[in-house]
Amino acid sequence: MYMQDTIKTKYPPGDLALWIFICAELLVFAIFFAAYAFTRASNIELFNQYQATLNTDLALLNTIALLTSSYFVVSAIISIKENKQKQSTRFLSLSILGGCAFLIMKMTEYSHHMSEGINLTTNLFYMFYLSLTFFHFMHVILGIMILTVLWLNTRKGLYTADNHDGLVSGGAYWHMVDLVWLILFPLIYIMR
Amino acid sequence: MEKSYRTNNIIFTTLILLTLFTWILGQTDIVGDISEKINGKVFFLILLSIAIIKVQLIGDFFMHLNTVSGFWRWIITLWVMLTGGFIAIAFLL
Repeated sequence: MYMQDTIKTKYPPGDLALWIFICAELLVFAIFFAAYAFTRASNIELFNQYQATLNTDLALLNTIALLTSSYFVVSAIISIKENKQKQSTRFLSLSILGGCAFLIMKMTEYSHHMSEGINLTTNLFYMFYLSLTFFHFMHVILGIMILTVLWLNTRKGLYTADNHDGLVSGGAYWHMVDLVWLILFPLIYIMR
Repeated sequence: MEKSYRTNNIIFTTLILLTLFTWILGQTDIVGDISEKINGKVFFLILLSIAIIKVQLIGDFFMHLNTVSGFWRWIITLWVMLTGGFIAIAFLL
């Protein structure tokens, strides 16, 4: 079993159907990112002006929360390969906590914007900022739901060193949510 | 398995350090407006390169695509190059 990590396979680990779903999701995000970048190109001053109003400290903490959560998912998969279900369950709990921390920080950010009367119609920058980040926010919610199912299954002992495809597939979805944010963070908060 | 944990720790630390570096570049009150100090295009390319490296690290080591051969090995690379390419064209041209 452990040798699998060193032998090259033709297909990615986990369920191939989920990988096709991940590709479709990534393509949608790529279109969104391109739309943001090209719209910005015709409104550079407006985008730079309102980008400066965003909270980059909170965005940094959001990035760290997602990366840490992903780290714990990988740790959970390594643990299950050693048949350490309890340890794997603990790691999955921590990854869910990381996801929840992201949601709480993002909701704090949204409530701050709402209190200032900012919404989708405020201007082009906020239209993109709110719709892009909210679209990603919805994916984080779905990701946490998937992680919760994985946590329950691991707790019940459904995954073992020989059978953990479900855990790997769910983990891949969570990493997809993470890597989308890794583009979104510099694109919307930092690049000018 | 010890090696797997060690690799996981190294990749995670690298990702956090790159994230902190990205954040520092965006802190105008700490480092000034870097986009004005250096060429704005160079500033943008540094940020884009860091983002691409981070995505590739997630794909290779967290999603384990470094254990895959053929088309699927490059799926995340293709995506990040396509996305990064669009963003670069919009920012640089």
